[in-house]
Amino acid sequence: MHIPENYLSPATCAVMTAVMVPVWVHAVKKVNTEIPKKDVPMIGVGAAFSFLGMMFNVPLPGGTTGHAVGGTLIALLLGPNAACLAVTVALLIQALLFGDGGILSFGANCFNMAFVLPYFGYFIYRLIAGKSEKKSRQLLGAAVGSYAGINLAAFCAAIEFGIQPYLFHDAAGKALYCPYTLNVSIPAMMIGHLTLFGIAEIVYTVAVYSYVKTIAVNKVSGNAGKMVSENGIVDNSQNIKKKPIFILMAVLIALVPIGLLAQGTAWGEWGSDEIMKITGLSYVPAKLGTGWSLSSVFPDYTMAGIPDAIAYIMSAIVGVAIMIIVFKVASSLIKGKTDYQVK
Amino acid sequence: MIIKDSYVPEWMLQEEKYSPKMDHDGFIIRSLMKIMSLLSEFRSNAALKQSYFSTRAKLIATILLIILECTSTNMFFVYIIFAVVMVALSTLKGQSIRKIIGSAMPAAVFSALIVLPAFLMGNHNLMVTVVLRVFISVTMIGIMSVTSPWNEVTGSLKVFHLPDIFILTFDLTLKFIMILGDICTNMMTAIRLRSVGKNNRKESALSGVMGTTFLKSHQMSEELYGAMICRGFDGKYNRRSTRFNKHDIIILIVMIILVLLFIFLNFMQ
Repeated sequence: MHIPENYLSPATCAVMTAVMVPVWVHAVKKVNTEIPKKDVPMIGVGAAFSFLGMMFNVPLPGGTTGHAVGGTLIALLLGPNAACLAVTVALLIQALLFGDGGILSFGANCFNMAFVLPYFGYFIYRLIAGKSEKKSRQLLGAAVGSYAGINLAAFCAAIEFGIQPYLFHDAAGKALYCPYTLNVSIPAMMIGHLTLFGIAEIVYTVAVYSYVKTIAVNKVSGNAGKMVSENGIVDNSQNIKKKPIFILMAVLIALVPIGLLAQGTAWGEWGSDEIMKITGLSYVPAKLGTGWSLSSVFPDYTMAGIPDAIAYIMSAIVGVAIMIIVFKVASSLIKGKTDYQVK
Repeated sequence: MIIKDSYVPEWMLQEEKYSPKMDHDGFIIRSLMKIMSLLSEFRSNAALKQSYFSTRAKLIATILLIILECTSTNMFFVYIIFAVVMVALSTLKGQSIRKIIGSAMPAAVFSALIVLPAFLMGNHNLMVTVVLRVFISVTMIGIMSVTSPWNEVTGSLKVFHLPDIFILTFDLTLKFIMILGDICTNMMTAIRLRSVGKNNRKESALSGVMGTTFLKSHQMSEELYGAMICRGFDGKYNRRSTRFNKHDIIILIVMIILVLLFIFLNFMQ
């Protein structure tokens, strides 16, 4: 679902980024007031989970791949505002370091995966789980919420792809950017996400969520079943244990090369060198072939001359470490609030 | 209303028209701030508790890694070290991370400027290889200095069979920076407090501060030497080296893996 560079026109990118700015401002403000300073690094851990989830590519017959995003998962654990920031940072690191998703299209990618996905997924979760303490109902909410979230996000991405040829084409009617109209892009994106990628998101969300809830939450504090209170404020009275979470993360990092088994490129993420061969298009869209792009340090999570699996694990380690660093630094910049209610 | 028949003398009733001229004493404040921040660094370091790994192991590991990383001709090895350093960095506190990045970033930018001509003339590789290496090295030193008490670092230098007199000098330097810094701060504060309005002799006063500090340091070193002689100092200085602890086995394992990787990546391929 990462929209690469030059698939969207700069105008579209500008609009999407402009839409995201108030969302980011809102999220930062909310996180500042809702999440205690010491828990801010946990957002980095959430971002790391999202980052890792996106590395497990799932193949779909026909040569395309997709992946879970995990935005709903973070929203369930830390609230949708924290999830928005976490996924934003994960996307930024992917774009800058690994060339996954474009720099110009960063706003659009954030709109789909950091705004639509976590907020909608969380909304659906609350609709189903409500205030219920029952675990089965919460897990059902998590499953349906994450499925709905990723599909709405994919639908948004499909629309962003699909409107390009209507709006931007040359005199001969050839598309300048993404060449596919809505009637191609929507089915192409949705078939994958309604089936396999949606299931991958459900599995990832439910598995990690139930793991964190059963193992990593301190039962001592009593209300272990309730991680986020009614108005989305993270409950202070309980602590998430760090150790099991880091063990889970290490296991995920070690398993990351599984994502390499899926050969092929995700729909709408082809490079200009492969677009003609894969899609059977008779031309390379003008701006898509010649547009600006950044050469990243580890393009597509690989390095020349290094076995892909090792480079993939390395990418995962570096990505996870940088995300934790980012949020630790962020938490040190936040001024500590003294809560006089707490004894 | 005018007060008559009062005990207040005439001159006190006169309105004061003295308004001191603005003085430019930014340089004193700046030097004060600089010294203060340095001293607070010393103080926070002195308050450091024993870290998870022994200082000795960290010192050896840091130096070994810097040598390996700088001599490796294989870029992949440098990336591996980068990953290791990033993971180590991510375990620190946000405040410490900021301090380390704050010193590593300028170093990287500076080296980037130096490499810039080569980059513009077409050698694009150099940009990554040199800048990344500088960033990694400075970050490693930063991690080392943020996590270990400095007196333990100097003590650990014994591992490299440095002469004791060298370590003694090191120890004394660190202590005297602290003491002399305090003296400087006090004197500069005194100058600031005693200057009303525009004081044109402030610059010369500042050089006086330096002179006085030097004289004081001379006096103090003599006193210190005297104290040491009185306590039986015979020119031999036996600094006890810090010990390894049981957690160091983790560092040892990582080091062995990295050295093997270094050999494999640089010589076997």
